[in-house]
Amino acid sequence: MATSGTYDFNLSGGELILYAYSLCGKKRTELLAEHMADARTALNMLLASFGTETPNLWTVDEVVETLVPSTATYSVDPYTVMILDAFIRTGAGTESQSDRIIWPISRTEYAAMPNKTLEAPPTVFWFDRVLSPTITLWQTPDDQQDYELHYYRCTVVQDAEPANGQTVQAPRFWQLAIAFGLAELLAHTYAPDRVDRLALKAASLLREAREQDVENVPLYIAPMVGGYYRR
Amino acid sequence: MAGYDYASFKTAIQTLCASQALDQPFETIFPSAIIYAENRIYRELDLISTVIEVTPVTALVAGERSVSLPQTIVAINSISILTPAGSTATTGTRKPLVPVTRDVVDMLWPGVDTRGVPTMFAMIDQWKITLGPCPDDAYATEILATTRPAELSSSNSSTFLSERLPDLFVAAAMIFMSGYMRNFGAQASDPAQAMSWEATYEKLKGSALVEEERKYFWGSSWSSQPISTTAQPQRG
Repeated sequence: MATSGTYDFNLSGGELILYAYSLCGKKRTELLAEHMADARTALNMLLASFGTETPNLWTVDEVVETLVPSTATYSVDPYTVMILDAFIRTGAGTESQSDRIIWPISRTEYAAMPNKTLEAPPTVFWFDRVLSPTITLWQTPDDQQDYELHYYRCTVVQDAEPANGQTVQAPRFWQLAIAFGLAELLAHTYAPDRVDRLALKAASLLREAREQDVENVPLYIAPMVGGYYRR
Repeated sequence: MAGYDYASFKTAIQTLCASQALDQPFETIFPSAIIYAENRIYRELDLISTVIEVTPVTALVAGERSVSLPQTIVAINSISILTPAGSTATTGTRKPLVPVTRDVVDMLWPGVDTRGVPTMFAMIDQWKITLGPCPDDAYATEILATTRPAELSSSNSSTFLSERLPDLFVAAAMIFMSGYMRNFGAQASDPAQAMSWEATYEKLKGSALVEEERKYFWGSSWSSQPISTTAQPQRG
């Protein structure tokens, strides 16, 4: 028996909505504009909750910011949920190009820095998560070298727009979790008798999807014991 | 086959009405009795024998999401798009369209700029549908629909009803003819006649319906199909 040989199956936002309603026991010939409007809202709220609950690896990208001497604070795209890793690059594009990791600090730790205008190669950063977020480096970049700030950040999931066959910004292995999560949200209004079982299934599918949304690498935890030894 | 043709059906009704041959009032009213009986049975039983592949084939037009259908259609059973464009029922691949509401089509495929092979349709009126997405090519369609067969007449001497459901056909015609005989009221000579034929018709319809449900494989609820009277309790 032949198999399809294709790997293109990817439900559009509209198809996800129709499937979610079928999980609620709503036929496609029952759905009115209000159903579709509620589903669009629910789908976007569901995706927004995915964005805030966990780093979604499919939303990670690298941002490059050319640093300006004597300028410590830089704007960050407001769709950024968290910054995962950051490093300072010197000698970009040359044979001497070198990257050096910098570490995150909290507002409190930044506030505790006694000399915030000290200029030197940056070693730490503070991600200020206000509505128009910023990243503040310490030390403030000096003019001795050209610096680039590189960071990997997690963004919120893009808006879901069911019209015109647009797909949802999520990997294929998340689609069932999204469908059941959406069905559960819609069931609160349109199929209250099904909420409990849809919620159970949605939770289990979300857990499975999250367990797959990881980098499959070893995790090493090593204590810093150097301070216990005398030279 | 123990059924009727036009002449024997007319004779049977005439006999049941105790009417004389060549009785002019009977001749005048008899075609109306056929119309009443046929329409009532077709509407109430949704006979699978009235489902046909609609011709001529309706071809889609690229960029036009509304499609007019032949006016012989009473109710659509299914619509398939034949791909690729230019193919026919014998050469093409069928892609069945999913029936949805017009709101769904308008929300998911709001314009004609985004085009493709349609996947869904919604009824706009009796003979017009709208497609989503808007067709990107001139695909042919295959439409299965319930239609009304030609009525029994002197020029169409037998029908499915006269041949396969003759008892029901007679009962339905006699309900109408009871009115012709003015046997509906208390002043009439046989006021129970119409009610008696109505009861007979209902019993016969029930038995015919069981067969029709088997023909359709009607089952439980949550379907566009009527709910089988024999599928109790309902599922889904």
